[in-house]
Amino acid sequence: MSDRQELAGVAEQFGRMLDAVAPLSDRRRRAEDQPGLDRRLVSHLGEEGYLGLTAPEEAGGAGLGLTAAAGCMLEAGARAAAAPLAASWLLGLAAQAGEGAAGLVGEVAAGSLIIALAPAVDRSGRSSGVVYGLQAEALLSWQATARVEAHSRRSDEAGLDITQPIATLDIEGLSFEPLGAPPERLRSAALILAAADALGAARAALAMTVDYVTARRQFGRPLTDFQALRHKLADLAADLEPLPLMIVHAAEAFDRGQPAADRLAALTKAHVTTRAAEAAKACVFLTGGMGFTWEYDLALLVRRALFDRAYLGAPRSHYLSCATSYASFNGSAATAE
Amino acid sequence: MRDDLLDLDREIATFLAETWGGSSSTASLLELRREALARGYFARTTPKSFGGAGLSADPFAEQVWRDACRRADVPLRPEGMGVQLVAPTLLEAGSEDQKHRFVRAALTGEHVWCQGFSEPGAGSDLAALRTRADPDGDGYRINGHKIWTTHVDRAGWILLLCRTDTTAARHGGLSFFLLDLNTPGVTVRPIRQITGETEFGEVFLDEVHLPASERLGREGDGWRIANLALRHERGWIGEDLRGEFDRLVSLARSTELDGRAALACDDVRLELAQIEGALVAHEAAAAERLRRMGDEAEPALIDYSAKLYATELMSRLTGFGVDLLGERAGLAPHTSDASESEPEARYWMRQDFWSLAYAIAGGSSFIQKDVIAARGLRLPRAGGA
Repeated sequence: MSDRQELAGVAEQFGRMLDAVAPLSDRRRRAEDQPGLDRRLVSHLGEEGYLGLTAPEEAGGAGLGLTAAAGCMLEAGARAAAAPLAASWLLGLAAQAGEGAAGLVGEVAAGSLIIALAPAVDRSGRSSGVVYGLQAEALLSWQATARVEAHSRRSDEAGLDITQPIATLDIEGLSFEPLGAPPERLRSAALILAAADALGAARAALAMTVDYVTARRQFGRPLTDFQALRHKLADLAADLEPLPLMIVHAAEAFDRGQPAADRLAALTKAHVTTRAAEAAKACVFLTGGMGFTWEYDLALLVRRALFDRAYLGAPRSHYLSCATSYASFNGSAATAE
Repeated sequence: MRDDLLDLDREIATFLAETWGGSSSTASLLELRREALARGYFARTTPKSFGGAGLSADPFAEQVWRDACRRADVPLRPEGMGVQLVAPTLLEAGSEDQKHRFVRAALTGEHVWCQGFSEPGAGSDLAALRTRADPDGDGYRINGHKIWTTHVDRAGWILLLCRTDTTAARHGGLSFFLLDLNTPGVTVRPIRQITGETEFGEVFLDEVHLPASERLGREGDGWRIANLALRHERGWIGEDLRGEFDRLVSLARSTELDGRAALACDDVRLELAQIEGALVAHEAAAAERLRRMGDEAEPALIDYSAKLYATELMSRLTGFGVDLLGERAGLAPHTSDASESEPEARYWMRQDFWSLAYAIAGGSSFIQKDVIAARGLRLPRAGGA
């Protein structure tokens, strides 16, 4: 079995597990009484070894790379899974690359320590936009980790995505341990994971929309009779279909340590989240009044895709950073593979 | 770049420098292509018994060959559809004898092939075709008219789809033939395109006699084989978008917009990066599609959506090339002669016109969307809206 097939198997198994333990339909019900993080899911993921997917084997993890994590993240996005998967898997990757994360990675892999990614710090020592910040017991920045005290939490949860709510934390006074791994690498991995999450959500949204359109009848016939609608769905399907492969391509470049990997990660994040967000919005349009209703599960997926597009830099900023290489362009075969 | 591709690039560059004297003589190109085919530089998966190297599919390696040919000014492939469509179809549907006679010749340009599918009354609705191949002794007698046939004026052979059984239902009763265009009864007429070129034309068939040995596949198997051929053709559209993108960036680097370097403008940088994003996704999918064809996997959504995706990307890319030209676009020559004036305007306007042709040829975008909906998404058949 090829490496790709093996990893596809891991992701498939992960998806089946999520369907059994935390399906999308359940997410809605849980969101009402337990918004944000799904602690029950976190325990389960810890027990089954998924939180330690990328943690070094010495720390009790599976020692897999970003390609494995991205494949699983596609499945997580499709179920709007509310667990700190990205932060946990990033910590594992950092632990593989340097010694700094060693103190936390075992607990995180076991599911007994909730870690959150702190992407930016402002001048007054606050980190905003921290997903699951309200429940975070440890923080991961691009350069370091720290345990979080209860008094660090500043704000209530908010945000576009009710399954990935964000909070602001006070990080002054926290004691940070350097990761000893290149920060650009960690950032690239985070971008690819965000792209995978968005794509998973968008593909699930499209599948839900196809089911809806197949069942719904108007004018005495199923909606699928109407060519314009068939064509719109075909357009969305054509847009999304290459994207899992783009993510695998970018993740493999990262795992192989290729020099163009960081640029490819940024381009992938920009392109995939743009398409995913557009497709998600189109799904709302295609499902009519139902699609525009809060209680309809499509809303969870759409908000997830839209959040991921904005998270860690919206497409425009990544496109512009990629564009800086055009001035010294020498034929792009070097950036393609 | 992958290390093995860097090595391949060096190897091919050396090979081209040693074998290509810069002459356009057919003989030296033929020898070069025969050797390149045997070494697996292009059409890598061609079996050794038919002149190839029998390697696994690798679109990135094939791209290395294309880039090297471009740098060395070697014509990329023979004219016609031999490489893109005829050779792969022969390998899937031909008899051993036909494969020996035609595969290597098609790939190297020893035989130049065109594709006889569409007719004036049968474009998108290909199954409505009326060119007939009636049994005649131990062969057939062909009468009919094919149109939009790419490179028909340069071709020596045509892959011809005919109706052999007029009693069968539309998609049944069709058969393929391998026809030498020098056969008596064949008349070829070029057609001038909106670009001023004559890239495709029409062919009239009047009582053309053909032995049964020149039939490709069984009688009545034509629709199935046509779908195989079209699948290959779809895969080729957009196969060198990376090269187009490189040219687009070069244009942006050398162009000014409103007195400023184009690359200094954020909107230009944004558009280039957005196109590049779509291009990388396209290439990742192309690699997967090739792998699937090598594994003989059943066609799936990713195979059906490729052409639509590629033609929309090409259209965006060429459209932006024209945008970058600004007023200079108006200077694009309308003749197809060899004049050197306004090469960039000529190039991008031509490519932009052709992006429309690609959205029509090989199954128009509307047909692609119909196929994606029915076979990719498996939506229930439309009752009639």
